[in-house]
Amino acid sequence: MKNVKYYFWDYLLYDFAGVEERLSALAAQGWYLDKIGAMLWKFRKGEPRAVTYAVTYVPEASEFNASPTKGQRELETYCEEAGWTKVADWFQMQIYATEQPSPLPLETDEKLRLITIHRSMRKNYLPSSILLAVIGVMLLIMQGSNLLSPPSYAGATLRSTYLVGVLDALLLLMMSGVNLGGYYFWYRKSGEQVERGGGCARASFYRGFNKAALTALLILMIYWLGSMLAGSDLGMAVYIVGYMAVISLLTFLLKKIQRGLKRFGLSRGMNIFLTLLADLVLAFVFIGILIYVVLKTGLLF
Amino acid sequence: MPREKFQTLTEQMFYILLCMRTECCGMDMMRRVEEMTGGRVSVGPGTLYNLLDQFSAAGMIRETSVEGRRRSYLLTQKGSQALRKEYERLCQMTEDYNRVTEE
Repeated sequence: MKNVKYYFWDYLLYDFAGVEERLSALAAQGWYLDKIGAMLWKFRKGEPRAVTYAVTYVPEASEFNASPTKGQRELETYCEEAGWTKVADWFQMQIYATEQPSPLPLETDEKLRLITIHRSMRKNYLPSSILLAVIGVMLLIMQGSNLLSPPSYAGATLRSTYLVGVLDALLLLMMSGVNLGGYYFWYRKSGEQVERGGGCARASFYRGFNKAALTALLILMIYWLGSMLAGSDLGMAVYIVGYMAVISLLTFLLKKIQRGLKRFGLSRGMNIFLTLLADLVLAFVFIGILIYVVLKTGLLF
Repeated sequence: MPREKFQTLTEQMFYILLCMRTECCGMDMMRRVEEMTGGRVSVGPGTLYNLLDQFSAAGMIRETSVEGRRRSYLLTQKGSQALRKEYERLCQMTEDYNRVTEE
């Protein structure tokens, strides 16, 4: 029987209730969180137990820190005092677990919880979503104008790549729109509920919407690839699949590099700088290789 | 006009500040608040950490010592004033209640 399992983790960073419930449900089946990856979370098999998971946030925490911050260590001390054990952290989210039957909750002030979540989202989740939107707009303008008024030397193949660029841009805009819009509505609803003395809103709707958007996108991609193959445009289909494989490989390698740099004890700033540099170099190399292969094999001609 | 931060204190804020009238270790605050209130008010470790962080940033408390994992805090002048102000607000509310219910 397998001792290790990987789950595609599509929970939103502010969906604390969803994460808590899912981890507790998996523990009841004997699966315990072992490691957090870029998109896949690794679970290790053990005996099924009634474990309660709880999540809190430390706004200053970062994936680029070589070691836990003073704040994270202080939080861990208080949690241990209350019978909670640290399991992992995921960006600003700190994940704890306990086997006590009626544990003291990590968070006992919903208003403060919402404030802390918002401070945490402003550090990472929101700026990266906004950046995604800005890149999407820039790409849309550049590739869109090329598509609408292609240069005189552009043949059918080059125009197809402009179309790929436009679709890339729309994808980025859609993803960032879903991220930002979903968070905005969740935050507003949570604020209203907390003011009335209730708790933060559930984020499962927004997770579902996110999932539906990604599924629709995947179906569109498969349909588009299929229609290219049916139209004997194998070259373009291979190029697109190659491009997506490059992006996936890049994401995987960057996560490894980021983890590796942490072991050297580098400062957060240096870690961010070197990771971005690696991103730039690897993207240049991989896309370069892809274009070389495509041109050499004449796939797009 | 937006309400100034800490203009009114929640029960948890009030009792945590009360703990720090004398030097108090963060780890002991959860237990002390429960003891002070007879179990009526509980402060979770996540809430405690975030409140101490916010009080510290607002200049209402200061860290006095660190012994291993034990960090101790004490109210500053600003924190004492905020606590006093909240106490007076609560007293005023009690007086208003008594006056209205006796009418």
